[in-house]
Amino acid sequence: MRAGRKVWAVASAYARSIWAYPAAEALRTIFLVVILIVFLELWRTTYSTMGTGVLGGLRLPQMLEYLAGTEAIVLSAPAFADRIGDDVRTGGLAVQLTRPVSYVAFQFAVAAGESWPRLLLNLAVGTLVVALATGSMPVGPAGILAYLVAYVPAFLLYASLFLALALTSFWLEDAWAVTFLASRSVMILGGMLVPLSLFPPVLARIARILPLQLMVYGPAQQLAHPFQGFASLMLQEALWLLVLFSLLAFVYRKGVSALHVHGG
Amino acid sequence: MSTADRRRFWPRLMLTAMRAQLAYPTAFWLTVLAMVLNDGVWLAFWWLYFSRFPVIHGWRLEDVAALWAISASALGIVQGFGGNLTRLARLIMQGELDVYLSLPKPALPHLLLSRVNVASLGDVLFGPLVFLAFLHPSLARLGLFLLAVVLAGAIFLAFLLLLHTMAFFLGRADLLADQVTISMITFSTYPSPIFQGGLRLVLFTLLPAGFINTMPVSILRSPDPRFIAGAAAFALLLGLLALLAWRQGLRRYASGNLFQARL
Amino acid sequence: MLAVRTEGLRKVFEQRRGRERSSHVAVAGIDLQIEQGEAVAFIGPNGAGKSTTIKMLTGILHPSSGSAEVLGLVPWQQRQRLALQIGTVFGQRSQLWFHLPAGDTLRLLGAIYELPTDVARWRSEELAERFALRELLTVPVRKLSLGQRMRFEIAASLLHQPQVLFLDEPTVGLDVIAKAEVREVIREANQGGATVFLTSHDAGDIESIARRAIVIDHGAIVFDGKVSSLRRQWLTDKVVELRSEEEVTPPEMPGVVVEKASRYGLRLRFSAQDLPVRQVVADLLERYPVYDITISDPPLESVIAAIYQREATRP
Repeated sequence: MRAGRKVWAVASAYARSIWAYPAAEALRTIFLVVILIVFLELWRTTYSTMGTGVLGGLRLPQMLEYLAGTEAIVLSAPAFADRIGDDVRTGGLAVQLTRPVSYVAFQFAVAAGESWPRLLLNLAVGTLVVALATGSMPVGPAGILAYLVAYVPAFLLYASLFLALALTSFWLEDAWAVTFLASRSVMILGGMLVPLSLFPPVLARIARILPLQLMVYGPAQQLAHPFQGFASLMLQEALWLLVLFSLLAFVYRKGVSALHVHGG
Repeated sequence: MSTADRRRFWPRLMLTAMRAQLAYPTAFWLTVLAMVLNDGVWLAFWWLYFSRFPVIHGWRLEDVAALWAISASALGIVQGFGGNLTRLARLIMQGELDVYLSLPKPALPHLLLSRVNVASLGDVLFGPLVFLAFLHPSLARLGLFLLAVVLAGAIFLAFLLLLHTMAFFLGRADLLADQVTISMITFSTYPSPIFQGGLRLVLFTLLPAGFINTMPVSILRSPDPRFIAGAAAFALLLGLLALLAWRQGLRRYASGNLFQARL
Repeated sequence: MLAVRTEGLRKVFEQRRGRERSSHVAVAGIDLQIEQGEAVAFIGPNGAGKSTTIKMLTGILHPSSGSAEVLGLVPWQQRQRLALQIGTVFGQRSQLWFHLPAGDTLRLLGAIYELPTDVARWRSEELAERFALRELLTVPVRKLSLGQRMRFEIAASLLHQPQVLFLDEPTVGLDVIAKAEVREVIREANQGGATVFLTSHDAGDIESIARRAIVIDHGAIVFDGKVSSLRRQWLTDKVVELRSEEEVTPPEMPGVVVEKASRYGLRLRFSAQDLPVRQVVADLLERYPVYDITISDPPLESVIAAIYQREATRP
């Protein structure tokens, strides 16, 4: 329980440190607005070119809200690689390891403190842009609730995977390239740019096997179809969480022993 | 001091900047590779898209590939060899111009060329690779491609320079500059006809990505001399404005004095 | 021709925070004349305007008003021409390429200063030899110690045989040995004819390098004279050390502070303004069977401390 309190303290401290600069946070949403405008124009053109009202089970406002949901997740994702790379290079990691909180728990707390407030802001701004652009509210309270509930395990999945990848900086000089490529895989196979329902069949099958879609497509889809296939989504998220968390634990243990060999 | 002695500086500077990055060869090549794959992911997105919807407003996969070839090459060269360009606002705020201002070479090019941005070198590889592999290269088309890259590069360079010199006047302009930079790049990599109305006007003035995202059609597919002349004139105007802002900015440069207390 | 000449040189930083505008006078109109070949220390607490002045004299900052000439050139108008003839070291900012050997930076600087290739090579080797850096020329800068790095910074600033050297806190963060090495190097450059203009908080730097001191406070010059007379004039305190032939008990004399007392020795301090030296000495000679007595000015360190305290006690 005490460990839980410490994690909470770290997370809320980070959340507060972010909101100490509201202007900076507001500026960060400029790109979100820009990319949603681009998507708006792209998909408006696409729907009208195809002469159809529904694509991949989504009407235009739903499609845009879906993309607002995926972008909100990706743009609020924690920056593990930078932080941990710095820790490893500067030797600050050795200090971190002596803290009375598990390093992994600490990193999760920092990530949550950083990501969750940003996610809420991004979703609000994104939904507003879509509502203004399409002239109607693209999502109801049920959709937002389903999205947020599904987001929590999705965030843990994302954090486990990217923390494990960032920890490869124990061996590589720089984990930037590895995590960068993983984030690009999330963009495509996670359904950030195009929902899986519009993928060519073979690719869709591959994407559905992988956990990447659970991090982005799964929650965002809930915005358009609240609580549809929700139980199965949560179950898949839970199972993959076991797998990715084991992977993280394995990489971490290997990494720390490698660190001891190098003498920190 | 012969002119030869004078000229040997710039290539030597670029070589030094490159060697500074090659001090970590594994990270260097991994980063280049990662960027090539990143650009590939975007082409994959468009392949996905066009496998569902073959044409939008006359644009096909090939046109988008051309757009990526042009913008990746142009941006890659500008950001890759002028690696300090997208850090300029931060350098101005933190007083990092001091070293360049105390040396007897023109400070702006000295500063820009003093860093190689490795990731952008991936773009420099990717752009020409796409052109050669997918865009039916011929001598004439190669000439048009190069023209497009030069014009797009000039617009990127002048625009980013003007944007970042705002740090002289606004103080904390780094976050704004980052966001506008990434917005400019985003608009530069989507097909031009999807943007209509007022947005189109913005894209040919305030955020001149419109010049770049029409190039696959207006330079590569059916070269339009009026467009080419217009784009060149615009790049020149923007460049002059940027230089003027730089010169005025130096008068107000505070060498980090204003921010020491706040950071 | 003077090395440095300024008249009413002034710099005001304007800051905007939201709608609030505030201005901060960093340098409040200073007049300076420095002859060629002089070694001048610029002393003052942080924020007194030392660095701002140096940055105006090297052309990095434009002044708000006033004029300045360095070697007959207006720094901010003829920046590049001036840069060919001056050397600069900013202790807090490096001009060495961090991931490359320092030799590479020296070679690049050779090109920057338009030295013929063989001259540049010859000068680099000479400087490396003189600063005991020869074996380190091929070691990446990130692997050098701070002291080695700073010696390279200074070597780099001397490559083109500048006529004026501007050094902003060249020994900051160095250990005792590295400090001594860096001072030695600067002194040699000065003996070779270069004018040295140095800022430092370190009394040792000032005493071992400079003959002239300029104290700046709140952007204005409050003292300009010899380092030795700075010690005399800034603090009117005198320090008396005496050895006695018999055991001593510390005296009780109004206005005299006992700094240290041992069995046969005393160190006393008093203000020569309040008490005439002659009176204190006469008093002491009367009290003790004096075997040896010395009267000296307080160490420069306490002078500098006093200058900084003056800053702290001001409203």
